Amino acid sequence: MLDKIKVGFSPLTDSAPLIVAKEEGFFAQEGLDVTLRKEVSWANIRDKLVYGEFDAAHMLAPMLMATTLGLGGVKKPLLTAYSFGLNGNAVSVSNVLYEAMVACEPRLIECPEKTASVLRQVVEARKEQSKAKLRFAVVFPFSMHYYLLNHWLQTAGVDLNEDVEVLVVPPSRVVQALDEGVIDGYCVGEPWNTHAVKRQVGVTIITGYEIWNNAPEKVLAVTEEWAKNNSDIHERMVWALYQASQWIDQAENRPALISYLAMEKYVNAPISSIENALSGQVCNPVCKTCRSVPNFSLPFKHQANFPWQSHAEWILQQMQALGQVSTDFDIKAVVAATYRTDLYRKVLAAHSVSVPSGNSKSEGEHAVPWLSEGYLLGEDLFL
Amino acid sequence: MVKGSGEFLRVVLVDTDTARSALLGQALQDQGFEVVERLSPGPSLLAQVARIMPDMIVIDTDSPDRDMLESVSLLSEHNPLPVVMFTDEDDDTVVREAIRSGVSGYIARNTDPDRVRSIMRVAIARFREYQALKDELLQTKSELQTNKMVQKAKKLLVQHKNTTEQEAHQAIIKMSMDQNKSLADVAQNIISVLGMEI
Repeated sequence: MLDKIKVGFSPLTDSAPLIVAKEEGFFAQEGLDVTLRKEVSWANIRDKLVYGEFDAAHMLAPMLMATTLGLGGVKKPLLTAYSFGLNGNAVSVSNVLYEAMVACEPRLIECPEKTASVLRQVVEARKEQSKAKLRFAVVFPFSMHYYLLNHWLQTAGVDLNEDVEVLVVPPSRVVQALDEGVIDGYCVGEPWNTHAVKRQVGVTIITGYEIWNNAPEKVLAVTEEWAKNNSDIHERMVWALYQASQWIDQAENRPALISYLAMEKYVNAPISSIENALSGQVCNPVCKTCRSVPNFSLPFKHQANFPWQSHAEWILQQMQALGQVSTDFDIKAVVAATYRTDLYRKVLAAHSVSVPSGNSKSEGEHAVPWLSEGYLLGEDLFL
Repeated sequence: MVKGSGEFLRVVLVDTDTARSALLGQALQDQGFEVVERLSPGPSLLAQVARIMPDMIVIDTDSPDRDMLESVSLLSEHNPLPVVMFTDEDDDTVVREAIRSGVSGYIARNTDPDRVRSIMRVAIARFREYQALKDELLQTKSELQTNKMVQKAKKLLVQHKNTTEQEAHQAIIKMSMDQNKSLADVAQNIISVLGMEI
């Protein structure tokens, strides 16, 4: 008999491992009968996981720590033993803001590294003309989108609180919000950047990969209590997802992957909007030439599914820097409790897959892939 | 439900299903809340909420706008509002557990009207508690910043005016009292004057 479990997810390209594990039978092979439940809001996913309606969830990595610390909602210790891959976000702006930016830098679309300083020029010009602050949306206050947006702005000395206004708009609504002029730009995961460009509502100016090479994004979240009582099911789930990620990484599976994601019960976006993120293409407004960003999303390679504790540490530091949490707690202890490299390692070792022995890696030091203990790890530079 | 000033608490309902929102609106009114408006979900919701300035919001749990409304208080310091969810799923574990633990505002379709009142009351109380925590955090943050600036100003005084650290500290406090300015302002002045010369 199969073990029945319920998993909540948000309709984004990076929920792919759950969809593939279900559709390609990796869950069934592990004796799991998984029901995938699509949710419209991150707060719903959090509450349903915390209150036991879900056994596991596709969750924003920072939400794992926020919930463990009791920020913005119910306090409940959560943990992860699996990362859904790296990257996948981008910053897009409205056509109006794009026009203003292009007036400062005609080659904007080919120069993602200049976008923040160009934005600063626009911000300053607006200040002089006493125009309202530009409004940027992120998908949740505890999200990589918020921290990446902040890092990007900071590189040009634009202050997230003083110079612009930041608000939350759920992923499925950002394109509409941009179209209606409620916001001037956003940082969100795919397919919602490509979708805005294809609908000619906005322009993608920089990818998350270009803000922090191979940044963390979503994790498989479970409560500490559930993990303790269901360790066997948890381990089988992680192994099924690992195989799904490996399957996703194989180019010949891409057509099947895209057709799964496009289904109404999953991401429910046009095939053309889903394709680009997977093939590392950033569309430009005329859609004739695309800018190639090969690691726009990284599902498997370079130990992308390893829950690096250095990622968790960076996230907690951002929370502190932005005043979301006090500075008087032990970051290392929260990192060790939430990012369970030991569980990931145990699952993979049981299937004779070797993994790095370190729990953390260096961040912000490598411009090209590098070897650590014989494992090829991805570049990790910040903008 | 009555506010401190004697007025009724003003509630905004957000729902696509007008029949359901009418029913819930009636239930809330019967319990002494003033339902000021029923809004449709969507990105322009925030602007409408800002215009109406309700005391709390009740929103359908199936609406993605929940994240947007709940986060207003997390990203900015203005217009924080308690948010309560309502749902059609009577037997939903989340609703049962949330109500049992008394920490989140969830109303199921068939909730007894008396219960609605107590759920709303708990949600408001919990919200105020969280706001107090957040204010405390902001205060700690600004105290930390003041502290850092005073340290820096002290160091500059020691370097430039050839004083001991103790004397520098006392000088800053005296200036703050004499000029009737905050420690942060005095430190900032010292930094901008002496810091320039380095």
